[in-house]
Amino acid sequence: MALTADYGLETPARRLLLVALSLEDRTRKRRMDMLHIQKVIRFYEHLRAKALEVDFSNYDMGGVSYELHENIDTLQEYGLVHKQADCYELTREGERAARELRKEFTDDDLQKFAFSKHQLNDLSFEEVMYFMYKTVPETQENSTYYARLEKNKQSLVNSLFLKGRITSATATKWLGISEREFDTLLSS
Amino acid sequence: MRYVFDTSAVIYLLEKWQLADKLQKFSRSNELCIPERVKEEFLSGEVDPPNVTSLAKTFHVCRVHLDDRLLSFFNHDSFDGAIHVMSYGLRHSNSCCVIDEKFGRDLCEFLTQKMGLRLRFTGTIGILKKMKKSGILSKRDLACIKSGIRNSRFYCKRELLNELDLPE
Repeated sequence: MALTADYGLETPARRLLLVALSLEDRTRKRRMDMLHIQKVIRFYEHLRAKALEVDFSNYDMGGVSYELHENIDTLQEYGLVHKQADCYELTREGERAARELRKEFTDDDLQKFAFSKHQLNDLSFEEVMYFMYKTVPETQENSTYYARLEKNKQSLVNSLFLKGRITSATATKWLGISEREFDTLLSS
Repeated sequence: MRYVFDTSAVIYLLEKWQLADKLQKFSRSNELCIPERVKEEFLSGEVDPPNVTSLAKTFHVCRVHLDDRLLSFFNHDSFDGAIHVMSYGLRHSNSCCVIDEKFGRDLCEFLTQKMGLRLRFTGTIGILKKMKKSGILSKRDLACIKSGIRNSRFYCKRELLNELDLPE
């Protein structure tokens, strides 16, 4: 646990950021932009269904954590994370630290974390936003952006369904139509 | 083999391709089951009375104990038929889930590959192939089904569809 102590990685935000960046998504990529980092960690917390480890507030862009923003900067200063264009990735030292931190997760939590990144990291901006607003409804609270996405919900729901991120039962619930109507919608 | 079907598979086999008679022949050598929740999903909305009768004749309704490990993947909710199908599949090693939707199939892969769980799964095309192998489906039947698939949202890879033409 040398690196954890050396860099003060015991805090949940730092631990979650480094482990999120160490996991592969569907396309076998590890790098993430800030929006996907926020949403993957929020979805992971939702999957765990326990008290949130990191503070999230509901803003226009849904659940957002300033704690994560601040800590990703710190991890960059420590040389554990490198930013290229809009995406963050682990440095070699960051990978070592993440390997160490992953040992502190239970298998169950690590699987949920992997599932979260697997589900969200390759989605477009609008898809990931809509998915999260609908999956964690309290994140709609202070959002005007949600109302804009709702106007385009049919195409977003179809796309999320065809990409395998939601079931037809969820799609019909979000669209307020029956399974057979949804089937007709997709065939047309 | 005991097959446990998800709702969309039942809709395609019974309603869209009208294969109730063929499925009943197939059920002489295989057990075809649906969870109660899948039955409810199938019967919700407009269903022709003949399809209601066919459902009862073709599928045995099986009792399911929900597997808690799956709940979080279904947004902590058990309303979706697929969670019942997978729960059954995880509990009964001699069974095989029949799931077509990408979410369900991807989740089955995730559970087996990333979580090391034992879960067998196939899709409706897999069932058609078994029925073809058993001589229950003729070339003409298959041609009708393939044409139906091409004109619907039913998703399958072209290679998989072409496998229905290959001699066994």
